[in-house]
Amino acid sequence: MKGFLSLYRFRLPSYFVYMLQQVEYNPTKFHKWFLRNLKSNKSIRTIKQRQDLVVTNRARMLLFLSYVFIILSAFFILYISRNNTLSLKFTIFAVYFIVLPYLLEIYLVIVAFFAHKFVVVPQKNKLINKSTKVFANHKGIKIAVIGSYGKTTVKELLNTVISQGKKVAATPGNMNVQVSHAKYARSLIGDEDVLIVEFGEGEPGDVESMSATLKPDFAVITGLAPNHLDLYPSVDSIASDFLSVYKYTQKENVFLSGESELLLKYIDEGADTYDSKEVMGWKISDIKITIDGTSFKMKKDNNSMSISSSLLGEHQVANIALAAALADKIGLSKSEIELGCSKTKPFEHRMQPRFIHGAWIIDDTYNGNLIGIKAGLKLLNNLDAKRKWYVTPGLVDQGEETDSVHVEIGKEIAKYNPDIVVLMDNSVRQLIEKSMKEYGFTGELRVEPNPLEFYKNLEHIVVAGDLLVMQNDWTDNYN
Amino acid sequence: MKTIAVIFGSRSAEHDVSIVTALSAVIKPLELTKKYNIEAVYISKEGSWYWDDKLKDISLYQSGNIESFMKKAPKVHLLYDNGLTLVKSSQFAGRKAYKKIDVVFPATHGTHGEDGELMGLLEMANVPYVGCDLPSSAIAMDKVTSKVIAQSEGIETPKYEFLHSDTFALKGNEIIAELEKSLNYPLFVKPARLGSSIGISRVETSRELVNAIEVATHYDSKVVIESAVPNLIEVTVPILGNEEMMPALVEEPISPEDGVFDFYTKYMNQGKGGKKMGGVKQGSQGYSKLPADIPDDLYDKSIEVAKKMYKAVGCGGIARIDLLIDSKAKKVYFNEINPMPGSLYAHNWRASGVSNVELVDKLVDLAEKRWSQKQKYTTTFSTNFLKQF
Repeated sequence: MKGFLSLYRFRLPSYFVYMLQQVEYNPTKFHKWFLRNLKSNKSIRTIKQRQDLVVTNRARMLLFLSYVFIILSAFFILYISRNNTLSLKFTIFAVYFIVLPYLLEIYLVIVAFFAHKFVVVPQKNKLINKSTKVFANHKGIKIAVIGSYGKTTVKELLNTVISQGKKVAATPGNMNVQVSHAKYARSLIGDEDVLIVEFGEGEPGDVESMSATLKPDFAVITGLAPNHLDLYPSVDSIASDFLSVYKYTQKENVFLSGESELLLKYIDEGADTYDSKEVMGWKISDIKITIDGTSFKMKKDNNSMSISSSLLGEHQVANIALAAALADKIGLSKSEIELGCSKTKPFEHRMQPRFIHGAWIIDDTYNGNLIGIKAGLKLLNNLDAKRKWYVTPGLVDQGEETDSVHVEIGKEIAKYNPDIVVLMDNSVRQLIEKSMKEYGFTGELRVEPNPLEFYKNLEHIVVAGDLLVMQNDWTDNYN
Repeated sequence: MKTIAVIFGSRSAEHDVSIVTALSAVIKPLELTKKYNIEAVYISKEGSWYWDDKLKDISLYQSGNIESFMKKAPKVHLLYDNGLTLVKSSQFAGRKAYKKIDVVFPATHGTHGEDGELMGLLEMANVPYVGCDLPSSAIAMDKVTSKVIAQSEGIETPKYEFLHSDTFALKGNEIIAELEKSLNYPLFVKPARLGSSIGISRVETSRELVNAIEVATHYDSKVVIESAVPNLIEVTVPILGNEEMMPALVEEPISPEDGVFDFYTKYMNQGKGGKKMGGVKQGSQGYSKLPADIPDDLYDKSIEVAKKMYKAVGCGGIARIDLLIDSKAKKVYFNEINPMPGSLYAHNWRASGVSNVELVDKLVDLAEKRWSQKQKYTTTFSTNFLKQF
């Protein structure tokens, strides 16, 4: 009842536009959220847990159109009922009022759909055509970074290391869709030695289309995970999209993570894989991991390198080594590579350590996959602390795999058995909790109803000597 | 869900410190326990009481909007009816808003609060409250009385004298001469019933002594003058508990060059801002070594003296005992007790393994236990006395 009544708030359009913003104006995702919210009967007032509406031109326009729709539809109802009796007029208007939120939702889905089809897509195609020409004429070495996880990290690593000896231009932040690539292409001067482009996957064909546009000289596939299964029909289709890069890049110049079990299932014999033992013929040894960072040695024939980085975790060894080996392949010297690696540091919200009142917080909230969760728990287990915490809301975008993935998360948590586990009170919490208990978790379990409040008030919750690994993000449209 | 009233502010030189304690160290952690409803009760510098959720927002005080808030907001009435109920006008058709309080968390510092006055009011209401009770608060807040208690327990204190402002006004010169006869410079002059190091001076000459006494009498009518401890190391020990005591880490405040650890040093400059001080390892408040860098025997002795004083004064809930150590003579002197340490000394408790949330939750639990215990005692006595009349 509470959820139903909350739909009749005057500010309903603002809540709808906020959620459209959260799903990047994708009408399908917005509609799915609406149906889920109806089913859960949650008050619409509770959806803005993490952020608030950012008033952009697009948001302003949608708000304006929403209120115009409400006013015009009300006038329309008044107009068509003008010849009826007063009681019938009242009934018609009451029915209209009841269905208004649903009409508004359908209206916004249609507006978003047509805006996407007739404004966004043509603009996007125009930009892509231009960027195809820019990339084709550019003389620099082009490196594509693809993967369900770890691609921003690998892109940044490559950028930092190769920049020690070459002029590099990499796609900024996690801007990894074709429109942002087109904007990036427009910003190129033309004298860059190396272009590093991160490929994001949202729906089938995304990676192939990006590969066709860039035609990379080198490609790195950092891993495969069952993400984005709301739009990809299966993991097979994600793998097929990733491996389509072979059509545009020579086989010996495509490097695949050998630590991604799922990816290994899809690759041919003879594909060049890399892991924490060997990368492009470089043998890795003497791995040391502390809260200050990671160090190891690399050796190939008579050459050796001592690598150190502020990045945390065993799962980063293969990525750092890959950056070093690829830098070597494109002509950087040993000293440039070693210096470059030493300059690499944790990226924001990716295994980023913070020291609060004597406690270490490892912020990995940008992680969005099971492999990252396993790495986070392993790191938590390997580091010393008086008390160990593990915090996760679970993983979004898992499609049909949602149940199995969260059972696996519970199992993995139980395996390392941290002192305290904090789960967020959402739709996957019970799955994790049940699995943790089944697999023998003996620590303390806390359930937080409000993730943002928890993250914002860590200083009040932790004590000196604590180590807290905080992973994953749960945006409001999944509540 | 239980309702806790957090009372802060008050007519005290430490009014602003109290706001910070309440908002940062008490209200937010209490809310994070998700076990209690929190009601913010603010006592203005003039002594008026207000109760409103808006009072939980620090920007109200920082922006100065508290003044306009107080002009519009209704004042609070207290209803004593087998407990404590907050009452205020709802400003609609003469209706009143009532809120029955289950536990009170006094977060006041200094006069008209921490000194026991507020605790007396809460005792009358028979409501559980956090921290030291009326007698222990009153003793703790009086540096002279607490020194007398320490001496009666065989705990050493620096040599001291005290005076009242009226007497000093009448016989200033005589008093100075007597003080110089019984105590040796350098001396410390302190208002007897104030905390946060307000009004404290270190003096080395008669002239400085007169000025320092005048300064101290601006804050309190009772002034204590004490000899400096040689080879001094200052330490402080926060303690939690009622009968069972749990000490936090022994903390060593770093004295500034002039040897006076005043309000500005503590809270404004190198205090909570946490600037570096000569490369010394600092506590969370940025002006201390945590744990204290002292030999093990002195560390243990400090805890022993602190616990002994806590018990002797009858403290409950929480308090912080300040000690002075003569590092060469290996003597630990009692200096003073702070019955409501600023921000609960949460930085020390965190370093000791007690988070802010756990700390406030424990304090509420201790308050309720002490109150339950008190309920067992009979407070009535039936006689025929009235029938005689």
